[in-house]
Amino acid sequence: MAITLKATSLKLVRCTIKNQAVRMRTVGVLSLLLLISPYCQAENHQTWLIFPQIDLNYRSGIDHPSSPQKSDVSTSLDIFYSSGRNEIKWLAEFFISEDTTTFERLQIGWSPEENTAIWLGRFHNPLGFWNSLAQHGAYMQTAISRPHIIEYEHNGGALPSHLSGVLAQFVHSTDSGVWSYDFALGYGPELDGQLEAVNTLSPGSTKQNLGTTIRISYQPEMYVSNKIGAFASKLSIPAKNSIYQEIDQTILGLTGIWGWQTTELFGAIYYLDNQLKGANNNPKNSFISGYIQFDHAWRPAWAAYLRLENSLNKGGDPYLQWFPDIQQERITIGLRHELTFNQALKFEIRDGGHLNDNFTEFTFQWSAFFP
Amino acid sequence: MIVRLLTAAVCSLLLFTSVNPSSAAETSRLVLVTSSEIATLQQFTPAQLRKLFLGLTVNDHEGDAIHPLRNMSDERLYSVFLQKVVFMSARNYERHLLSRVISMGGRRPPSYTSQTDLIQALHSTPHSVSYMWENRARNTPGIETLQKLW
Repeated sequence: MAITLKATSLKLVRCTIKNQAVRMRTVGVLSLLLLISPYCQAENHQTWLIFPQIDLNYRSGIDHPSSPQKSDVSTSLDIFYSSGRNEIKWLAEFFISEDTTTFERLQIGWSPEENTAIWLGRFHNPLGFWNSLAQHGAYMQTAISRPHIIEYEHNGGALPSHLSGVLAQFVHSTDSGVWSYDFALGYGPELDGQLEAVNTLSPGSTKQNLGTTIRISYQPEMYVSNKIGAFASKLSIPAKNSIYQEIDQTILGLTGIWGWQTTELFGAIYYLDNQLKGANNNPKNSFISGYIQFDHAWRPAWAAYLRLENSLNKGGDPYLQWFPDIQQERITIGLRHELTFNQALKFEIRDGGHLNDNFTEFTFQWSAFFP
Repeated sequence: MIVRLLTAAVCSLLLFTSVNPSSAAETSRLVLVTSSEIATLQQFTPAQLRKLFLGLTVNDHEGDAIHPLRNMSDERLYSVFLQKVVFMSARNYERHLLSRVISMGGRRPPSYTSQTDLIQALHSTPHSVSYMWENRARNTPGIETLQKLW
C-alpha cells in the first residue's frame, strides 16, 4: 500500500506542477527520499505518514461577486517523511492540493541529544504553537479551519509561516518545569498579491530578505501538553507589483495551551507593527489580532469546539490592504468524531470573517493519517 | 416455571464466575514483558515507563536504548495501559505521538494488533518491551515478566 501511495504521489506531482524545472527537482527530491528509505529502514528510524483530507463546503448568504462559490469540494494530501542515522535527521513534508504543490518543510537536522536540535532548510516559523503541533495535517487539529491570523501564506495568511535558514531548538528541564527555546534565522516571504514563501526547489524565483524569530515556552511538566509561550520576530518583506518596495515587520505575541481532563483552551495574541517603504511615503501602523479556542471531549470519540477571532485597530494598518479578511470578527463552532483510531469526521460552522460579504460557511471534513 | 428458570440462570452465573477466581484476577493484571532470550531484566519507574511509551529515549543499565512495542490486540488491555501507564486518552496519546514525530522526526512506538506478531517482534527486536495480561505472559514460552504495571 505504501508503495502504491508513493507512486500515486509522484504521478500527482507530475500532473500538478506546471514548471518543468521545479517539477524535475520535486521528483528528484521525492526519488531521493525513496532511495534512502531502505538505508534508513535498516537503522529502524524511518517514518512515512500520509494525511489525506476531503472538505465539502457550503456557503449561505453569498451576495458579493468576489465571494467564493456557493459550494465546492476540496481535497489535499500531506505526505510526511522522516528518517535519521545516529545524530543526523531528515524531515520532509510535501503538500498537494488543488492550489499548491510544494515542500512545506524540507529540513536536515543535527541532534546530539534528545533536548537539542539544529535544523537547516525550510521550516515552520515558531510564531505560536499551532504550527508546531498540527503542521499541515488536517487530522492533527481538532478544528477544520485555522484561525485567519495564522493561515499559511498560500491561503492568504498575513504572517510569514515559513522561513528558510537555520532553526535551533533547546529544551532545558528544571525542578519547577521545562523551558524550551527556539531561535530561527532565515529568509522570509515576498509579497506579491499574497505572501510567497521561499520555494525550496526554486529558491531564486522570489526576492527574499533575512528575518529572525525567537520563541520561549514553559511547561509545568515534561509530558503534558499544557504550556505557555512568548515570541518575537523581525523581518523585512520585499513587495512586488506595488507602490511600496518593502515592509519592515515586527511581530510580538503570547500563546498558550491549557487542558483540564477533557477540556482544552488554546489561544494566541499577535501584535504586528508594519512600516511600508515606498518612493514617496512610508506609512506605519500596527494592529492586534488573536483567537481563543475551547475544545471539550465529552466521550472518547466525540469533541466539540468553539473559536472566537478578533482584531483591534481594524482598518488602521495599510499592510492589511493585502489581507482584508483578518480585520473581521469570526465565530467558529464544530463537532469532531473519531471514526477509527486514525480517521476523523468533523463538521464546522464559521460565521463572519469576510470583508466584502457576510456569509456563513458550513464544512464537513473527512481526515485521516496512514499508516 | 419462570421463577425456576431465573433461579437456575442466577445459580449458573454464580457457578460460572466462581469456577476459577484466580484466573479472572490474573487476566486483569497488566505486566511489562520482554523476550527471555534478550531479557533486559530491569525495573522501571512509572515516570520512565511513561517517557518510554511517549516516544522518548530510555536506556537500560548498560546504556542501550529500550524499544517499546504497543500491544493493541485487546481493547480492554490497551485501555488499561492508557489509564495506568501513559495517563492519556487514546486520542490524546495518538496525537501526542504523531505531533512529536512530525515536529522532531523519529518514529512512534510500533503497534501490533496481533498477539502472535507482537511476540515475534519481542523475540526479534533486541532490548524491546511490551505489556500483556499476566496469565498470557506466563503461558507464552520465551516471554519474561519484568514487573507488574497494574
